Amino acid sequence: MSSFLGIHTAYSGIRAAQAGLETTSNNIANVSTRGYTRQRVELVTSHATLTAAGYIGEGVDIEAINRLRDGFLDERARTELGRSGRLSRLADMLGRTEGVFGELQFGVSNDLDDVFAALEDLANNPDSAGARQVVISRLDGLATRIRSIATGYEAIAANAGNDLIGETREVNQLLHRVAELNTAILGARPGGQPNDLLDERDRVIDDIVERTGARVLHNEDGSVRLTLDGEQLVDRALVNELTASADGTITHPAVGAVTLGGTLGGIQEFLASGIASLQAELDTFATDLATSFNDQHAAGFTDSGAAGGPLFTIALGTARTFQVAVSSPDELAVHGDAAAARFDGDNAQALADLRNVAGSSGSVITEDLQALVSSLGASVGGAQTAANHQAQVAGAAEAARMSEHGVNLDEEFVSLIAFQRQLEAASRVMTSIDQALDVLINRTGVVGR
Amino acid sequence: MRITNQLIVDNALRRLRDVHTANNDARDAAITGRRVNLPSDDPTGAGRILALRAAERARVQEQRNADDAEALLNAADTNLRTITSRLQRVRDLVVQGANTTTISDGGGAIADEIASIREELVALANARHAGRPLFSGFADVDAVARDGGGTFVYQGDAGEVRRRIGDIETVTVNVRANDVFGFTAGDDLFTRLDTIESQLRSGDVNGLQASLNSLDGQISRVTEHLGVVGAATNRVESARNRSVEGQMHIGAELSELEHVDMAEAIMELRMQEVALQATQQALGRAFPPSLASFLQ
Repeated sequence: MSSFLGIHTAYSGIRAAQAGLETTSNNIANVSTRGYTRQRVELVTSHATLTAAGYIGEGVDIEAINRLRDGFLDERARTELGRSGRLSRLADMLGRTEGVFGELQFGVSNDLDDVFAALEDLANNPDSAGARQVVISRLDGLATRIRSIATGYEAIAANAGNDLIGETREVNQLLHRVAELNTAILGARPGGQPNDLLDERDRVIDDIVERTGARVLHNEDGSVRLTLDGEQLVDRALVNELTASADGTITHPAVGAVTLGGTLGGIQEFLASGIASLQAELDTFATDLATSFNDQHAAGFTDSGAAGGPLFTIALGTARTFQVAVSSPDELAVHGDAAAARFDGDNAQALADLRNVAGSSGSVITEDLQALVSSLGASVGGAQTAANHQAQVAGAAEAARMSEHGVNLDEEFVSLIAFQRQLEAASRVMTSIDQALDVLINRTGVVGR
Repeated sequence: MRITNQLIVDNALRRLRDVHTANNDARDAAITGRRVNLPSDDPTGAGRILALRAAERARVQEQRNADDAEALLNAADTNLRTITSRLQRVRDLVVQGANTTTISDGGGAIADEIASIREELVALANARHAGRPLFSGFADVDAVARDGGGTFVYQGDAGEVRRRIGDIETVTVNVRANDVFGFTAGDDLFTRLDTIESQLRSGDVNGLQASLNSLDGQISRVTEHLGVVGAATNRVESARNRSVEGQMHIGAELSELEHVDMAEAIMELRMQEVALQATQQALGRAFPPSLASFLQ
């Protein structure tokens, strides 16, 4: 047994205490850093030396400086984050359509009511050029409103498409970043855990998962794999880039079209079903409106005794092309009889009655509109409720994860004190041994001097 | 659960955000007084609100229609009443003419009066209300005129002018001269007056007797149509009352759907303000004194 073993033992204590102090100070410094994982010095007893007296311990070894992170909590938080990203983006997009629709403050319903009121005034005064002019301008107001909603929907869809392309590009960059970090981590691994790189990779992965809903799998060598629908996005240094197009399709190089989760998935869903069905509903409404009005108008007669022409035109059944077809007051088929007597306003009344009588489209226009608004409200409201709910769930999962890997200052102060005491004590031990050696070396053999 | 410093900060911020949102919503509701702004606030309610608004507009329109109908009916009523009273005078004159002994002399004066009354009656039958003939149906012509051969004819058409006064209720607001004055029955008033005039001038007492019978028929026909006009006026009146009442009910229901109960809204706002203050106060203490404060 070496006489200097004690010094070495004391020194290992000092080293451990220093590592502890430094790690603690790093934890405290990063108390507000997003995505930082608290670290802990893992200490183990050094192997003991066998002496005649038995095994004598040789102090403490620093085994590793580990991140305190729970893989299960991570996975749960990310899954919920992905879902939350998808639902909140979907709700956000649908909310914009509601803004474009403009109901209940101003909107189609107001214009439609105006049309009916103007038609009834015309029925009361069939000879009045003023009343006819009012009808035409009200019809035009209605058509303009419907067109502006249709173009508004298109603009929202176009924006969503651009967002999809732009954000997919960002995701691709993040995928490359993960691949780079994988390489760096694999390179650093033998010397110990590169905690900063691991933290950064976790942050980047969080971002990717929130946008795509990808799954995260850990390889045994410490690198990660990201998959989507079971297809590789990133494996170690390999990256499969996604390609998005404005119509909502995202293609993976290996399998073609894929459905994503996360915010990109929210945009995809909005483009695939959300806006598409709203547009279809609006188109149907506009087509039915045109059919009912046109047929009733055709049943009447103008001043010259000719049957009424179309009131509205709508090309290819798209609300975007909804136009008023009449421009001059004498094109209006006000009269119910071919004799076209001056004060015969029967057809104007019949047009006004479309308010509560089923037209040739088979339904009552105002009821169609109410159903349209209710259905819009229900899909937006439903999406918002789902998004709010999921945000709560995701928040709870995130809190659970943060409670595991976040820094608590009080704890750090406690370890600070503990390590400080350890350092003091180990130093004292060194001093004692030093004194003992001093006696042994300098004062031995001086008896009787 | 392990509480970390970041968790405390995050939770505090989230709560503060929630309370601010709730506070803002409560303030909006109290200021605007509206419960539903967007369809998603209440999807079913939104559909109902639109239906009620459309119904409200329809009720307002019905009242406009009723005003219009009433004006036309009143004009017809006034004219028909005047016509009836003039016909009474004609009848008196015919009776007088048939009984008078000095028919060759007095008959001419009576005939003159009859002729002038006839012209007055033609003018009444052709009366217009705001440029619109009262008794010609849809047509923009004088209801009664002499044709090329000097015979009285009805020039209008059979148009029934209708006004919508209820959701599915319409009322006819005109009577046509061919019904009122007997053109349809083949014995029209104006030709009869021509006949009476010539009978008076020629002293045809027997003929006058027959004319008197016809005249009674004419009078009762006009009175009958006066009754039709009166009945229509009554219908318009009662429909208007219903419409006004309906509008009130709709307004009440609409307000229930659209608007917040003010007392409730203000209570809610007050509560949210208290909640905000409480949260802010709590946040002031949310960060417990750190261990650092007690370390030397």
